Amino acid sequence: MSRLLLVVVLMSALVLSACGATATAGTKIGSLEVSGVWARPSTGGSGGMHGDSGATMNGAAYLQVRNTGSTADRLIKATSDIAEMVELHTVVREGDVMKMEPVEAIDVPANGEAILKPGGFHIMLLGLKQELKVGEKFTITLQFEQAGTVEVEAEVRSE
Amino acid sequence: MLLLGLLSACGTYTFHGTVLDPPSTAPDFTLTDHNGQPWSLSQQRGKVVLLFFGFTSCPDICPTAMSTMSGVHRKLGKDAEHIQVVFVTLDPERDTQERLAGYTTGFNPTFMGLYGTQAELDTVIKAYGVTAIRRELPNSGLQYTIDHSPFIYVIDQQGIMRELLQDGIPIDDMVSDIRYLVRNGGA
Repeated sequence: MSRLLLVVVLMSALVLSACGATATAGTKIGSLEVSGVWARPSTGGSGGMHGDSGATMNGAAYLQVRNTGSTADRLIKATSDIAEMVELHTVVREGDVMKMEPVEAIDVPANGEAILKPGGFHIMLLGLKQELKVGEKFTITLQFEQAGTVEVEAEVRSE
Repeated sequence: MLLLGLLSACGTYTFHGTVLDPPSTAPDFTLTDHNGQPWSLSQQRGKVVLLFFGFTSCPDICPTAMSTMSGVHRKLGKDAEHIQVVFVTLDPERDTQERLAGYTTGFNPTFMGLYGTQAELDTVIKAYGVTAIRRELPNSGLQYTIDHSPFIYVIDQQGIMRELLQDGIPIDDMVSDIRYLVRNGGA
């Protein structure tokens, strides 16, 4: 009986964490904690950058990294099997023009955080190999200069 | 609610975007829609048109704006029957008809993607004062990007350009503006 109860409690917890944007537990590596990893659902198909349909789409993933340590770190690379290429980008606004720029790294200040969000820093997923559907999850591997490499799970949702 | 009532009683409504004063007729244009049919702005009278310029390879700004408009559409409920969201590509080289169709309808089945030759698009871009600058990205698999303005042009049912919206304005405020235009015609 108690086991059944435990299962119910666990399932409710899962459901709850799936619904809340900020409720997802973070992934820790060293003094860093990565949380709130998400990507928009893709539109318009997939099949690789050189697919016949010509309808391959790109995507972007967003997350937060909190650094509780006294040493600054940098996110220097991201990879994922879901895309042919993964790059770190930012968006710069110059007057009334939005410019997207690849960046070498994203700073995670000591006792601070890096926030990747729409309209700013993002992990660009180039040439999605499969559709990203709401509710699905996929893995992104993040490489930090100091803390090393960590795998995080991104949730696909519309906002 | 009371405040809203007072405002509407006075006949003035304060828009949340950049209001064009005085409002003028949005430049008419004809491009090709994602079904391969000619699409003219002047044929949209009776609908509030939300016009956005972008490119489908754009991973952040464009999907954010499209997703916002998808949210506006959903929140408008039945009033959404009187709006038309339009995405004009700034990247005719990569954005084929098929690609545009998949992209725009992925956000909402009623959204329309438009394309044309570079010359046709240039005319529209110029008429709307859109900035669109192709820039090579040697360090990116994207190869090139298009720096562009982030505005959503809001055109009322009479074809008058009323305001420019952009991300950062709360979605409920956008919904309020569009609903006002839907319910108050072109007046």
